[in-house]
Amino acid sequence: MADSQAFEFVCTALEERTSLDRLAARGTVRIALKQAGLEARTVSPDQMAVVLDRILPAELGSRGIDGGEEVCAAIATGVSGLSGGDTGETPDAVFQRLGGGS
Amino acid sequence: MKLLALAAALCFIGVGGLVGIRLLLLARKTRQLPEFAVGLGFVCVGLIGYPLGLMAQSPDVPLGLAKLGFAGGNLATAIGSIAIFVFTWRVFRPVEVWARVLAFSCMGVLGAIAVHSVVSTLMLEAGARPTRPFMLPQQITVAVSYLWTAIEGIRWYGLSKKRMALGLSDPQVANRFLLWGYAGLLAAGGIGVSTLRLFTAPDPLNDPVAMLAIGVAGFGSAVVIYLAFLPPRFYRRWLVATA
Repeated sequence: MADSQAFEFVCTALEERTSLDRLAARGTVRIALKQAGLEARTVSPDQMAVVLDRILPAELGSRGIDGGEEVCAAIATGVSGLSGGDTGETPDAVFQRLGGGS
Repeated sequence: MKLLALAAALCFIGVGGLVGIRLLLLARKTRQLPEFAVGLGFVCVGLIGYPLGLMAQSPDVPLGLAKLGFAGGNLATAIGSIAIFVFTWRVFRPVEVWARVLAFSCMGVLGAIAVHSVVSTLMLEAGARPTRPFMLPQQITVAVSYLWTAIEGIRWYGLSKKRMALGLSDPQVANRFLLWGYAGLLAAGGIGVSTLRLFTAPDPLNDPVAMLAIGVAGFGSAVVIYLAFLPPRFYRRWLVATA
């Protein structure tokens, strides 16, 4: 199954704005998502914005990319304009409902 | 020990039934598959299959009623276990091919055994008690469903803990994943031990180890299912306060 719109958007933007190639960009974003407990297939724009703010700058820094915070902030602006897309219902949403919408 | 096992069974039947009915009512409102599947699972296994199975085993029950309980219990347990497979597959692994293959294979095994059990019971000669020739594959398949449930629940609890650190997950939902995982472990453990003792103990129906396993699994499952799906207000508050 395809990865989410937010994931594809961030990977493409990283390729364009940094020296990372396609494979490295996707790998970096996947590692950041894993640290956040998220998956490429279901990550939403809101969740991706948090990853861009809190995790990805350090990941870029560890790969020798300067100005990671500025790059991530610029990409986050674009992410905020994305719709959620059809990522399917997550287990989080299901278990929220099963407990009475707590 | 028999009293402990009986009390645990009653607890499990009560809580499983209550939670199952609540989730089916939720499904009627939301029209969503997950709550229907898990609600059906609890009702069929806890409220129908388990009590009918217990009744059918009792030597004091008339033969006709025992046959009816045996066939009905087997059928209900199979439907409930199939529903749990559907829930785990559709909620946690909706796109993975291996998950679809595992779910359909196990559902096929359970369905075939249930149909065989009902048909062979109906065709029994007068005076003959029903037997379970495919008990071992049936028990193993049901245990697989609960083990899978446990693995996914605990895995998602781990993911949710990472998300909580970023403010991306609700502590109550994270805890619900953990409790769901524990419920799966308890059920798989209870089934595993009692099935093993059925084949190894000198007097399987009065075996204290099997009864203890059933007791612990029954009580434990009732508690975690209750906290997961009918959490009292103090428990919710405690989860939020300690997150």
